Amino acid sequence: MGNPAWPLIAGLALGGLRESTAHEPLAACVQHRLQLTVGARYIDLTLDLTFFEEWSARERRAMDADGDGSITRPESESYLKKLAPALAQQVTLRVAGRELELVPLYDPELDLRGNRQTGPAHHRLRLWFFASPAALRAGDEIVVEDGLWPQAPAIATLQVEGRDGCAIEPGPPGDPGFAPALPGQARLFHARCLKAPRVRREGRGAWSVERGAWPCPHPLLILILILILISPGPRAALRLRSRLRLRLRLRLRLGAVSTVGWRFATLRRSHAPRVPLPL
Amino acid sequence: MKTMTRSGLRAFGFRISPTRPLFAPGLAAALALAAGAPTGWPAEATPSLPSGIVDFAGRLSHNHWYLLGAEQRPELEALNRELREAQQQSRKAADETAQRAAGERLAVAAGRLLKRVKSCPRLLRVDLAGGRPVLAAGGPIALPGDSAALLIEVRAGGEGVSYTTSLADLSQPPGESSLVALEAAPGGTTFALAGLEHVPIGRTTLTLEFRRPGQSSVRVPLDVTTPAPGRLKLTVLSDDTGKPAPAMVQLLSRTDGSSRQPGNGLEFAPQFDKQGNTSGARAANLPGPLHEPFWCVPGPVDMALAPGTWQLGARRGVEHEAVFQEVTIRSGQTTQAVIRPRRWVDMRRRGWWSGDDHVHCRILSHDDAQRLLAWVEAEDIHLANIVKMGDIYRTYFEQRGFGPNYRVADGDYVLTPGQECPRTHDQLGHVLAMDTTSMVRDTDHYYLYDQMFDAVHGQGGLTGYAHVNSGNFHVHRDMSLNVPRAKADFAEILQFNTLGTDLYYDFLNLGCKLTASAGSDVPWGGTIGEVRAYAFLGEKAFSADAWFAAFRTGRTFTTSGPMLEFQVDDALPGDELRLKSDRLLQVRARAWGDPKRMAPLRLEVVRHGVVIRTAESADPPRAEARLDFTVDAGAGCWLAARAYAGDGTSAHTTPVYVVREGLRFWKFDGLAELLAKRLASLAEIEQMVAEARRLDAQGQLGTDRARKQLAWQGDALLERVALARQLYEDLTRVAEAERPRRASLAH
Repeated sequence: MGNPAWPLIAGLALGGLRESTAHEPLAACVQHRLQLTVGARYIDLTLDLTFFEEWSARERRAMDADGDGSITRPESESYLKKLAPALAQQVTLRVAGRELELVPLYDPELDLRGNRQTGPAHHRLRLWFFASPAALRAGDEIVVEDGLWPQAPAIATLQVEGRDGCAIEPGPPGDPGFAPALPGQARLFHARCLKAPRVRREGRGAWSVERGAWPCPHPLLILILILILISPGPRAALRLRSRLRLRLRLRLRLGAVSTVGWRFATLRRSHAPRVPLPL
Repeated sequence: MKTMTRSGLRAFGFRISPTRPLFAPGLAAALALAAGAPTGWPAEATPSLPSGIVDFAGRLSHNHWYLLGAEQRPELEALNRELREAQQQSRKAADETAQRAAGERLAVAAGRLLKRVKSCPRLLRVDLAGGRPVLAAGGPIALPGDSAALLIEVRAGGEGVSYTTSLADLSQPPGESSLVALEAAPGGTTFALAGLEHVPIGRTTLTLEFRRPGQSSVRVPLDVTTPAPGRLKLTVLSDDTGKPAPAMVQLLSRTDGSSRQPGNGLEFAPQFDKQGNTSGARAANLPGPLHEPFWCVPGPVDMALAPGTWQLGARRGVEHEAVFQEVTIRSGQTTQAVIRPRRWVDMRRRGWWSGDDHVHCRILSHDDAQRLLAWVEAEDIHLANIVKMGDIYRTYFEQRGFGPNYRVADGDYVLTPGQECPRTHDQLGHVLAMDTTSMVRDTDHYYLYDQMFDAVHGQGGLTGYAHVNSGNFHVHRDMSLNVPRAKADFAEILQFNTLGTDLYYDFLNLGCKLTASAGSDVPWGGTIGEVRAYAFLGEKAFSADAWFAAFRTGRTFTTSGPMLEFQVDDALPGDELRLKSDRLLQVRARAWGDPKRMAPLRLEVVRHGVVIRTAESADPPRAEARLDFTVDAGAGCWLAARAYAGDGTSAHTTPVYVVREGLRFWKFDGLAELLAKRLASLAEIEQMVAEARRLDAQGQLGTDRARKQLAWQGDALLERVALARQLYEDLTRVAEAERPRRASLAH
């Protein structure tokens, strides 16, 4: 129970035990469906947690702040806001044994399946995360640890998708109906990279750099650029200047200003739209 | 060199530490300023994000991108990622350099977002700085449909930029006031993104309420209009007849991604006895967009729909391609769409007919049956085993009756009543029965599953274990008692799109025959037929009896996507090849799938559970793999084919049993381990009974009828444990008897 998020999740999970329905096995499950999409630039994780009757009833009771038996929009929003930070800490991603930082892509989304009452029902909680893999190679193992609602028996399914030429294989068929995990234990989703994604360039020069290695413009480079841009010179220099100006203008328009730096650690697909540059 | 000023930075919404000096060190900053983006962050500055910007960016890119137009969506998506990643980077920065780098990223991304928001033509402006709030809106705001968003720049005087989001569901209380509450910063400029759901058609007066900390809230009325709806007429055609047919349909707004129930989308809640997911919106345990909710429509859809672009999705089971197409609905106009999901395979022509062994649904009336038949036809499942469910306390999903008289058919689609009972969750697992003539449930002998198996077989029915793929509910325990006694016919090895074979292989490796089956377990499962069992009828005409007869022979395979054909010499799955001498066997296997979603595809042939040959679809667009090879029959074995598709779906056949005269087809080399597992399962049953008896003797069971019955039925159950133990001892003796023969064969 070392994780600071535990008290919140455990509290929500264990709240309302008396409300549990008859001892229905599937009704006591939470279905964990992980969609893993691997591309050149990002690994995207979409985790759908479908709460079956018993757990849905517990969570619904936690949502119903005023205890009037119905869950209003502000109540469900407030529930999500409180929950979100703890949720993010319970999911981790490892590629080839190395943990990658997962970033929530959107705020969690709650689908009460058209039923805003408390009591046994089903509902879905959807979480989005992404990570930037440094370099994915064929044979790399991708492991997602999901420590969400560990007290609930889980039905787990993994969906994989490779993009940018990447081929991903889900883990070997194993036991999807995990027994309730012990506190601190996580459900593991395994996948393997069969074919690494192609490193793509979207528009020539539209590269971005390794996260955390933000390029500092080298003073010498800056000086050379200034000289080229402002100095008169022979025809070759003019052509070069004209090209550089054009490139810079396009770069600026694409909003990828900082790629002028000299430390191009890794080629990455840029966020910028694909614009072929007329060079 | 241009210098970035504090006010210039603040204009982008950044708070600057007052103790840090500012200067712009390089050309990058100047270039950025020229481009309208703040960068070239001063070395010492430690910027913090404008409050709410990350949430704002997420909602704008994910839910309300339409405000800026579809062409801006990739950029919004990129900005959202950039902001969130940089925020995380900033949070975890270990030193000042890393902090500065993160700050730089944040600054660039925030500046780009601000620029885009400010240039949005739909941006409304509210000035709260003066005595009276002023909303600059020239007339009512035209919303694109019944779900939309407002983008508002709230000026409260002073510097600073912040962001806020809200969501108002006008169908929720207090709906009549149409209140849209927005939390704004006490000063500076707040950019607010207010999502609106269920906005009535026509003109609506909203009350925008701006709440600021330490100040009284300010209300401003705002009129919005939604256009008159258009009309959608959607017909899904059968690819077999070209006529309208039941289908699974999805209506998804391209504006905000929300889905709508088709006008005639069926609800099954009353038939689900308040169990499982009672909604008619069925999210299948299938890959990608198929996982989003679809509704069963029994025929053409004809409904009013908000103007805008809609994605129509239609599917008719795994043998058909799923179709997604966009239509534009215009006010007052009728849009017609006809979708004909194309078959990528017709398994009927190959003699294979689909079934789902595990569907829970009440059928008490003709209407109940017709609704369910529509669903079965929409998913193109030819036989659905509609199971009444029971436990030791009660039953669920009532049926009118059992047997052929209570089957309901429409052409080649049939509902047949069956049962899932006994079901014990902490003791012995869940069992299924098909083709029965009455419900078999005896609570006084509830833990004696063999009695139910015998009774069902006496009726001419089929018995099997549910949830074998997951091993849930300790199903291995009763399997250890009754599979070696040949009491059960089939095992559910595919469910929730998860193929699980561990337990299945353990029993096959002991030389026990079990037919591979699959069941959706609706309403806990996503949709009928998301996993299915195909039975081989060959040239025979389809009927429930023919399907059950084929299933009884074990000629089946299960799938959630790819199709399989498998033959060893002339034997099909479930067949037994009896050999008098060793010889080579010709193995032919083929796996193929919907080329649009299942490539690449891997086909494997397993012998005693071990992969002996693999093939992959070499040509990426063609999802097909074949194997054709010979294998030594050896001392006998079981051989099966399985397939894994690129989209995460899978398939598995029942084995072909290769039997050498006088020998079992078991995995001889692994017997010790296999038997040890079974004996461990039996020991668990003994412990379970002993525990129930102890608690009962101590009077601790109270109203726990399940365990009281277990204590009372313990003697009879332990007799069966003893019988099974004897059986496993016999198997050990058989193994010893086989050993010399096997040794001679090996030489």
